[in-house]
Amino acid sequence: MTLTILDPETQEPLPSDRELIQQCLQGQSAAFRVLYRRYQQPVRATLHQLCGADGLDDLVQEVFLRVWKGLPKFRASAQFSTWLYRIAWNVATDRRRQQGKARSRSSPVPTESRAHGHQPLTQLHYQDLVQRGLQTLSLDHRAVLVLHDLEDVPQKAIAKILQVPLGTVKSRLHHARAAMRQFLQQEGVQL
Amino acid sequence: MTRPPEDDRLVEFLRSHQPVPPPARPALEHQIMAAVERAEKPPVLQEPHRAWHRRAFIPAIAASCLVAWGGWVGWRDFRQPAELAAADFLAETWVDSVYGEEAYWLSFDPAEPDWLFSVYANPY
Repeated sequence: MTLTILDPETQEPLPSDRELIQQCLQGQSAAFRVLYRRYQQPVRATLHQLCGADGLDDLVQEVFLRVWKGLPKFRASAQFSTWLYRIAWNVATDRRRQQGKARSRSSPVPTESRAHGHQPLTQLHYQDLVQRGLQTLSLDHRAVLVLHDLEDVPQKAIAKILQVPLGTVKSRLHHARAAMRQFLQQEGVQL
Repeated sequence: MTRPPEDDRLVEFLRSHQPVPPPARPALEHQIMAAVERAEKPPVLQEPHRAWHRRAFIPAIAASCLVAWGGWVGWRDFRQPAELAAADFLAETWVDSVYGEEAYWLSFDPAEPDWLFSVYANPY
């Protein structure tokens, strides 16, 4: 099935990922800008949930630079979004490694709780709970939960992104949900 | 695939209250595009760095074959006179032993293809 994306302003069909990639490979950086605008939001959200808000812009920039440099190696048969999430996952694990080294030399990073002015307190409280709950999970479990339950990525695609068997994805998802449910219940949330 | 109801409620809760990432700094897109412009263009039409292996492979094989063939020719030419001398000696010894002095008039040039025929063609 071919999905046609329409321009919200002109209602004209936007170029597909494949067409944009071809244009990028011909050196047209304007096509890359379209790709960036199409995908920066889910990449940003995923990186935020995996790594937190600290240095998020740098992580997003790193992902898209790696995408640009890696485009010639991108297989035309593959799904661009899967490949993009794979790169985001690599950047997140690299950051995690760096944080691990830095943390061993300094004090732990406090959990950030960034207030967004217009949101009600209960919403902020629950967002903070979810954020803290995600941080209690291992990065592997968190990645599966974030990609599947929050970003709506299919399990088969997650298996490709994380390069693990499909059964491992299912198992991690089960354990991540159980751990998350337990954390929320301990915090007084009735599900 | 259907989820258990408790998973449905959990996922619904997580989606409703998922952490919102802080807004990107205003210049982020510009910085990324500037970095992309500075970065090397995707080298789709360029040979990868390891391509010299492939480029050098066929000439290397050809050169090896040439060297092997040249070596064989040289070795053969070097070896041939000694072998021919040994063949002459064997032939003369054999003809002498069979024909004695009667064979003096026979040709013993082994380079001629029919030199043995002359021996068989002559009656005792």
